[in-house]
Amino acid sequence: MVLGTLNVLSAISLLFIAAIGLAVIFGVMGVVNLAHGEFIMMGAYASYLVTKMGYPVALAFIAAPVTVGLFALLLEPIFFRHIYGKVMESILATWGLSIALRQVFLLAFGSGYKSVPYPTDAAVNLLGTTFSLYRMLIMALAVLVWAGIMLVEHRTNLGAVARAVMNNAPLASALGVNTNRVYAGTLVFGAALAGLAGAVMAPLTSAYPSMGLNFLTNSFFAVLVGGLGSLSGFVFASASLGASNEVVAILVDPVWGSVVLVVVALVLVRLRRTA
Amino acid sequence: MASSSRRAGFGRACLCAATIGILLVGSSDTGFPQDAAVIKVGAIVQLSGPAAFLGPSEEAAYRMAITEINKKGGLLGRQLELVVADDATDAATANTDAKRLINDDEVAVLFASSTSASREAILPVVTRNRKTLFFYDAIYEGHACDPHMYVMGEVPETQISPIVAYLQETMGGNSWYFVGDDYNWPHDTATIAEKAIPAAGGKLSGEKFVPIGTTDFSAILQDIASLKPKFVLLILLPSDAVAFMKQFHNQGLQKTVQPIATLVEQSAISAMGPASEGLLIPAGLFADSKPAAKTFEKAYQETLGVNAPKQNFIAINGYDALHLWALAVEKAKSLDLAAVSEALPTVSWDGPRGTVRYSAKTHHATFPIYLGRIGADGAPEVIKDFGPVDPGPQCSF
Repeated sequence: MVLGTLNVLSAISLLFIAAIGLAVIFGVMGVVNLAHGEFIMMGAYASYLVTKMGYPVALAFIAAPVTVGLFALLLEPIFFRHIYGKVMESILATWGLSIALRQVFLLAFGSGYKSVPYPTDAAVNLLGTTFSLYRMLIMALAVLVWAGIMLVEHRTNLGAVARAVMNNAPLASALGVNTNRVYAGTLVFGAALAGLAGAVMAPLTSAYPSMGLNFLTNSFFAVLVGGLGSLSGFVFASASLGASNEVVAILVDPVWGSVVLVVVALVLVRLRRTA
Repeated sequence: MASSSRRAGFGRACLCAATIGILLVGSSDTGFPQDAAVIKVGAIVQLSGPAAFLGPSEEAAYRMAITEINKKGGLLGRQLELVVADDATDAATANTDAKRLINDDEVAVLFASSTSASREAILPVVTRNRKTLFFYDAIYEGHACDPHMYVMGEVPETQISPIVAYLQETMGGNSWYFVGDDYNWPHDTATIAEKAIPAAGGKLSGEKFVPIGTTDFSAILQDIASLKPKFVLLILLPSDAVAFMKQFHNQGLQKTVQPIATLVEQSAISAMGPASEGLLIPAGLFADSKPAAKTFEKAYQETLGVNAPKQNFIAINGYDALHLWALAVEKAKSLDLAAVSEALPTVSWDGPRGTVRYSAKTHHATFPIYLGRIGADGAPEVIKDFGPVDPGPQCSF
């Protein structure tokens, strides 16, 4: 029971961390970033390179978001700037970007899997159950990321400007807010969060070119259920989808878990529409 | 890694150029007769898509066999030429590849290292055409039968059945748990293993399937921790097997549970890092397992270079199959379909794995199976030689 509860919490945290970058970019800019999975993949490769160069794997949790954030910053003027607010165009363009990124990494690193060690192999003892310390740290990180975004969104000037652009971009622009700069900032922030997700996932799975696709679907559902531009809605979506998936996976099996995730997502989206 | 991929790309570019050249020469009416002395050998491999991690080794296995045969003077006094097609791990592409190789390139024989889905897409092209034999070379779920097809690769009967009794005897314990990806190969393998385990006095504690591409195995690991089986059989694709083993190890389960993997090669083993230690793999080929494997490795590096893609138990099937076909052609003294098919079960080939032959009754190959154990250095060590293992009544011709 204790182990089950911890596993459900860790599943929720993993889904939250995997999807938060997608939610930020979609929420503020209306860009459905289908290259989100590849951003995660790039974060995982950044972790691999950090450990391969002999640095401690903990450094990857800084290096991966910085690398992917910088990459998004470079792509902003030539790619993302042209698809802000265009949902359909952004789906097509970012899907193309994702294919290109997968192939570039396949050519650069080969098709093999790259190992990233765990920062810690220790286990903690909780109410008589031993549980992976790394998974406990992931839960803590998820809470930290949530709290961090909440603080930025509601307690800083930056957050206020971002919310203004999110609610009414033309009006914010008329009031002297440089919306393009807000968009660029949000893009980099969202990409950095995807890079962080890559660093989190890499020890669990290893890094390989096509790994991003495994994260894209569930992240996409979480964002759909969470709705546009609401952090609390997104937290609720991660929790309900992550929990229903994991509970069914434990009680029945993971195949049914993945089916239930989609069903719950459909029901929640439908309920939200009618409400 | 980067340089070898570039080389593969360059090789493919050359191949394309060569193919275009041949097409141009073949279609021009002004002369230049096609080189009738060359025998074209078609090979469909997985150079891109989800199974791209296998493609370069698969292509190299065929190339190695062709080079060796050509060095010895070719076949029936003619040189062999390899025509490679990439099926992108996609059945529809495999079907187009097969049509192109058979109808346009007019290959004398067709080989494929592919998924079962691709095999099923290639077969109709082969049977409709009735000009070439088709060799399917891959580990698979078994029981694929066609008069024009010969199969070489581990099947559940050769990979699982021999190890059950041996492991229970040597390691103690008799409870088993299966974790598989949710598609036909793992399901069919589990069905065979379900029968093999009680037959050897074992019992099945649990069996769970996961979607392909699962990244979080916590639910399965929780199940294993509560059922406490002695053995856990991984019927997972390599990427999922890597994730499973890394999380299995991180939860400390390797202290009490013995994992056995059916489909991991060197890249997956090294990606597992320290989690790979103690993993058992039943398969046909391990580098350095036998003098024959060592001799092959040396010749392979001399022929294709030290940076050639590493051979593994999956790709090597293509190498042995091509040699067996060549021996059958020599014996039949012709490329005629019926004559080669008749000669094929009567020849045997001593390859890197040991002696390999096809059965006339089942069209499946018998070859030795070994049990490898991954050491602390990530290198497999052969702990048991099961000898040639008959795949049993796969088909009946």
